[in-house]
Amino acid sequence: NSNDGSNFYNLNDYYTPENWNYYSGSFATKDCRDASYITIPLGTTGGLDEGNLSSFLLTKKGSNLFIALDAGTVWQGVRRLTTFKYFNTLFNITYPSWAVLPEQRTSWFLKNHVMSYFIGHSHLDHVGGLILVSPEDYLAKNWIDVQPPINNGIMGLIRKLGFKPTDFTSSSILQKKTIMGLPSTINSISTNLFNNQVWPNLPSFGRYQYFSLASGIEYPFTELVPYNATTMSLVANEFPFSVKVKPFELCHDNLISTSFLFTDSISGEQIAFFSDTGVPSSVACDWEGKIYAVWKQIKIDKLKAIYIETSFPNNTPDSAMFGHLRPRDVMKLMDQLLVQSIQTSPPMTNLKHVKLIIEHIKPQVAEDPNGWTTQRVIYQQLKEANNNGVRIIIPNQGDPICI
Amino acid sequence: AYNCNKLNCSSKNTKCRTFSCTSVVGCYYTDKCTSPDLCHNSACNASTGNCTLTTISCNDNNPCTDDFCHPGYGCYSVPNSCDPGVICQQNCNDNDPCTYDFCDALNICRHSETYCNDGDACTLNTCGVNGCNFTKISCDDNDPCTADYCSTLYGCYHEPIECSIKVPCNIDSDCNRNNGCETFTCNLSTNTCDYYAKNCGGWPCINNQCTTGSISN
Repeated sequence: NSNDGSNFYNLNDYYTPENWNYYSGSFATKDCRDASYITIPLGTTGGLDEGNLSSFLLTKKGSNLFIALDAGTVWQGVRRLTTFKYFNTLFNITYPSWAVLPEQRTSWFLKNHVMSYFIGHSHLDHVGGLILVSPEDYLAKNWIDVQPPINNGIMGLIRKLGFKPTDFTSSSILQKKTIMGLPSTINSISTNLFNNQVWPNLPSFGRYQYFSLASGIEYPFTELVPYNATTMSLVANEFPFSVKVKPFELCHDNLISTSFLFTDSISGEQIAFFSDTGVPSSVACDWEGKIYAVWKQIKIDKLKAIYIETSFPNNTPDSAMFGHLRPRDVMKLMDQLLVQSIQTSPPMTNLKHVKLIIEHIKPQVAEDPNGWTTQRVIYQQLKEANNNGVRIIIPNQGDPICI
Repeated sequence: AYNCNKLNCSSKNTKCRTFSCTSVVGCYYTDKCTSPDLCHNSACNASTGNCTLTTISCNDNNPCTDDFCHPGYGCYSVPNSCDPGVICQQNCNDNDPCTYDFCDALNICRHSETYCNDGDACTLNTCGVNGCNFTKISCDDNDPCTADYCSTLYGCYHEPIECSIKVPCNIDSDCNRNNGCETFTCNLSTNTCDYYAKNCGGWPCINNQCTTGSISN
């Protein structure tokens, strides 16, 4: 039988034993016990591998509503997540009875559990996944009445807010997914991608709503939903409504990119997500100053995690960086984080409580003297310069990380 | 797996619904009356099994949206002139070509600095009364010993050329000007240096090193 897979070698390149060369975070009980949030890497590499491009889901422990941070690869990451062995012990997802195939479950998860997309910049490797899943990324009115009823995810939220299927109108914000970003990013997505030429203009048919966020302004999630405070008080302490977000402009060579700083309204805990940024090659831009502006808004003892890119190894010249970072750049930023953030008294002297989630590693396509993957090279280089004890994580697609 | 024989799904059949069974999902039904698109509802008369097709109402009871139906997408609405977002957008123009005017998620009008960038490192990007301005830059370094070029990716670069002012030498190292973008030899017949542009495989040599030319998103 030529259809049994036996015609292919098992590449096995990103799993055991390769993955033993670096720490990829953990969802083990002991690591999740003191964690507040869980992140799911949907895509971890930078460029080239269209099945594994920058995107993460974020939720709070105990919730199964997710926000997406960039959306380079969505489907492949969610598909892998839904086949993850311990998936439902973490998130308690209920599928319709008929959803038995991985693709049916992937689609359902997207529809009912991903609420919003925070897009840091409009390059394809950060938005392509969103564009491609968009035809299925929609909670149609008839789903609300699915039998037996499903009471978690967005459908659970709708019920918790006291809405009935009949309240579900074409302008219902809960029916639409929101795409959030700086105005330049939103403008590029609406003009150049969802434009009926590159892709159908699904937002114009009520599938998505664009939210432009002004740099430096903090937005509570509760105010991003057009329901009054009384209605929202029912879920104000639940993720994502318990979170505020403040966007910051970043330099990404000739493009504006974004950092989103999330602050938990209840605990004050913070998570900083950086879309691509770094050393410019073709234009002058104060890329470090813009990152330090984020550091200045961080209460260091409250910081749980930083998502930041490390696209290239240390030996990459500035002229070939094009707005990206190397391990030596990232660790210099960590040194500055301790200096520039809002300190405790007495001041904290290390970052052992912070998880550093490394994004956007470019696959190794050139010769390497040891035959190492770039993940392995970058992990080694980050470790060697890790003066502050930050917890370095090289994520794996679909493997949850407690933070 | 479901035991279809035991479930006897067909016993649930009505005039409007036909029940079937598979071992994967057990009993499932097919409605006799189905709507041809997302803009119609089809109702079935339980006693006769007759189908009635009605057009659905897309009215969302929001006076600030115009409501439509698309057969494939279903109901959707478009904000109209009384929508706070539309009102904000209509009153957000500050007539400054160097700001980008937008209404944020809270429908507050904001103005961010226009980011003038044509992606060409050989132009100077400025903003003035007519908006973005992209002026060609001069790469002339006034050095007769370099040829001046501009790369749209990297900007100005200056390739060393044989210079009319001869540098005296006895050995090759006498010719070292610490310029990583040139190679040199001491011409022992004239005891002067010969300089050549470093071979970067067609890519410019900038700041003492060859550029790779790989562009990264």
